[in-house]
Formats: sequence, structure tokens, C-alpha cells
Amino acid sequence: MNWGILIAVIIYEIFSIFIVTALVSRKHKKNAAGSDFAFASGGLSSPLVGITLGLTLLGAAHNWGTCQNSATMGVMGAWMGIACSVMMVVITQICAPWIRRTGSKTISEFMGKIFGKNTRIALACVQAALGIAMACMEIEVIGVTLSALTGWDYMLCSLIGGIFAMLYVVLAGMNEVAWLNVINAVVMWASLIVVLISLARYLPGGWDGIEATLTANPDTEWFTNLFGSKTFLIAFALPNAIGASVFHAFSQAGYQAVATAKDNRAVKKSLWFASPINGCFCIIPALIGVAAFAIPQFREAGTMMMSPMMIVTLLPKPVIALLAAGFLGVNLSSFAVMALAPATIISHDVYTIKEPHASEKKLTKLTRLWIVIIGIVSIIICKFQPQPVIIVNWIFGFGAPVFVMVLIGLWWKRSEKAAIITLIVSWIVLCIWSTFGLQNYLGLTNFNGVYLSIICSAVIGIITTVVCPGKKGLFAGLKKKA
Amino acid sequence: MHMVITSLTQVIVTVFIITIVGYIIGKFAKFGNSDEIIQRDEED
Repeated sequence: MNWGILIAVIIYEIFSIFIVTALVSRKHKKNAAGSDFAFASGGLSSPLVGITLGLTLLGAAHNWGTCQNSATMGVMGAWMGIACSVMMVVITQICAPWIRRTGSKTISEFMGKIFGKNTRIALACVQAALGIAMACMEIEVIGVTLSALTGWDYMLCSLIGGIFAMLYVVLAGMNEVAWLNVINAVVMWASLIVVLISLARYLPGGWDGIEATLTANPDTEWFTNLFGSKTFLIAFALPNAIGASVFHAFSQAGYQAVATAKDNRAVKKSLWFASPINGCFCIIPALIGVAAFAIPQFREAGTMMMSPMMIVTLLPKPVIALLAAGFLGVNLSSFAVMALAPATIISHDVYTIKEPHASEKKLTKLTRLWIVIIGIVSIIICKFQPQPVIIVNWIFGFGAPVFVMVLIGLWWKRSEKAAIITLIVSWIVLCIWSTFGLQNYLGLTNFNGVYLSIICSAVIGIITTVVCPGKKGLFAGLKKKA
Repeated sequence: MHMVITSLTQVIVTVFIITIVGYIIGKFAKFGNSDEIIQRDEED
């Protein structure tokens, strides 16, 4: 039990939330508009947008998820972050400015403007569900962090972490989360660098000892090389880059931070902050995971708990506290947007079908209520989830048909019938492939669901768009610079 | 320590190459520079 560390970490998180909330509230006292909560009134500068974007799409799969991945792929787990750099390029340089030019607040609204009301509803339902799955994953790793610190039961830690996470986003809004992200970014990077240096001293034999252990075994020799296995480059790095890009290019979680930018130039400049913060992150958790895997005492704890156990056992308490504060901050930030995104979709896209003229104040109240519901659902089901990286890849597959149909609908032809058929058929095919086990049954474990989803949606999307009647693409025929 | 320094350097260099190439791509994608809202349905 590390009571001192736990109390220090919780005090830090509460202190940072209340101080930032108080300062931001004072600054924006005159602005009572409800849209401030979810979209920060659309006035954030490029550093704030970039840091928020970089951190909100950096969570479970990047920290403990990457540590876990190292048990099967060594330092190649860092490709998770590198893949996200590609995603940041696609979001900030290409897709997000397109969405902003339609004046949409949510991705479902954007799809509705391209194709129509039914597509908007279909996408709102699926994206809300996927957002809840991602929020659930964040609760899972918040539980892991607290469990490693306290030694308490994992479910109890998930419950405490879940309540804390709900308070984090219900009390704060997008504006506060943006500033909290800046603080969390500094703490997180500082903690990772300190851990890396500390491990050189406290690991048995230092980093050289870990490397010698791994290279002595032919099965793990390639674990020390970022380009060690072609199989993992094809089956892990590439589908992650493609999957993350096609999913978050038109996902609410990817767009929520960008929607808060003051203009499209700020969005484009935000790449210089979002890409390094997110892209360089995974190598340190990958190295931590590799070290834990190389020591039999910790490897026996299983892939999920080996790294937290190693850190708690080997490192001094101030370093553990710093890392726990950094990781919790990151996961709380991610949960904030992962919960805010589906809650925004439900209030702005689904509820407005029933009450089209609902006030912003009412929608904000409803968004807060849904954040609490999402938090409760996440706590209940988080124990039954597979590895974070498996969930992430599965979720990415759902983005492929949306990406394909948006490209077709923007630049070629808009047919709602074609969009609905493509989305639904591709999602069903992905579920049969991944969820119901066809991939494992056929022995094609390296053929990632993202590849199948892209091929399937491109074929069906093109054929149905040719066959079905429709209108000219939303941006088709417009000058490159309007 | 060799593994740590080599992999850290490789990741940082790879990420910065992606960022620079991405920013150059963004410079060519001029359609996204404007903030003017497009409402095509009114024209149809």
C-alpha cells in the first residue's frame, strides 16, 4: 500500500482541476453561453488546440496499453504513437478544415449536411456507442494505475477512478480541459523522462542488462529494435496508422478539440504541438514494458500488471507519485473527451430530433447528464474488455466506411441510399470478421479488420454511388481556395 | 543504454519527418485555409 503516493496524486489532480476551473471561470465570467462547455466558444489558439488534440487522443492504448504490447512486440509498441503522428497530419491538415467549412459542430451533423438526416442518425448512434467503448477503456487503465498504487481490488479502483473521471469532466468544460491538458502534458513528459533515467539506476544491471537479457534469446532478440519485425510492421504499425487516420479524421473525439480553434490556420499550425506530443510518447512506455518483460519476477504478473508492478517495486516513491500523476492526468483528459464526444452527439444530434429548437443551456445540461450515464456504464463493463490495443483496432475499423463515404460525398456525388448501404454493410462485415471470430477461424490474424473495412467500404461505396441517384458532391466543382 | 538511445532517436526523427511532410502537404491543401462556410444545398 502506498497511501502517501495515492494521497499526493489525488491532491494534485483535485488541486489542478479546481484552480484551473476557478481561473478559467473568472476569465469567462461574462460569457454565459452554453456552447462554452463543449466547444470553448471556438476561440482557442493553435498551441492550446494542438496540446488538447495531442493529449485527448493519447490515453489507455498509449501508456499502459503500450507497456502491455511490449510483451509481444518489444520496442515496436512505439509504432502506436508514430501511427498517431500520421493521424494528426490527416486531421489537422486535411479533414478538420473541411468539416469546419461546413459549419458543423458534430461529425453526425457534418454527415447530415452531406447525405441527409438518416445518415446523421445512423452515424450518431454508432459513434456514441464507440465513444462509450473508448471511455470504458480509459476507466480500465485508471483502475490499473490506482490498483498498482493501492493494492486494492481492480473493480474498486475502477469505481473510484470512474467517479473521479466523471467529476473531472462534469465540473470542467472544454475550456478547462484544454488548460488542464497543458499542465498534464508538462507533468506527463517530466514523469516519463524521470522514470527512464531512474530505471537506468534501479533496474538490475541497468538498461544494458535488459538489452543483454533480450538479445541473448533468439525469440526476443528483435524486441530491442524499432524495425525488428516485418510482420509487426504490416500487422500492427501500418493498420494503426491507416486505422487511426481514417477513424479519427471524421470522429467526434478527433474533431471535438479542433472545433474549439479560432480559425483554420490555427488548426493547421496545431500539428506542430499535437504530432510530437502524441507521436513521441509511446517509446517510453514501450521501453518500460520491455524492461518489465525481461525480468521474470514481473513478467509472471501478466502483461497488464507487469509494468505497474515493476515501477512500484523498483522506483523511489516521489518518482512513482510523479508517474502516477502524469498517467492519471492523461487518462482523465482522454476520458473527458471520450465521454464528452458521445454525450455531445446524443444531446446535439439525437435529442435535437425530438426538440429541434432546444436552447444551448438545456443541451449543456443534457450533455452533463449523459457524461454521468456514460461514466456509470464504463465502470460496470470495463472489467469485461479485451486488451486496449485490440479494442482500439476494432473501433478504428468502424471509421473506414465513414471516411470513404465522406470523400465520395464531398468531392464526387451525394446519395443517402448509397451512404446508408455502405455504412451498414461494412459495419456488419467488420463485426462478422472481428467480433464473431471469422478472422481467427480462417487463420488470418495478421489481416487487420481495418484493411477489410477499407476494401469492403470502397467497393460497396463506389458501386452504390454509381447505381443510386444523387446530388453533386458538397465541395465538387468549387475552387480550391474559396 | 544503446537500445534506449537508438530507439528514442529513431522515434523522434520519424515523428518529425512525418510532421514536416504533413505540414508541407497542408500548405498545398489550400481549400482548408479559408474559414468561409459552404452551404451547397441552397445552390442545388
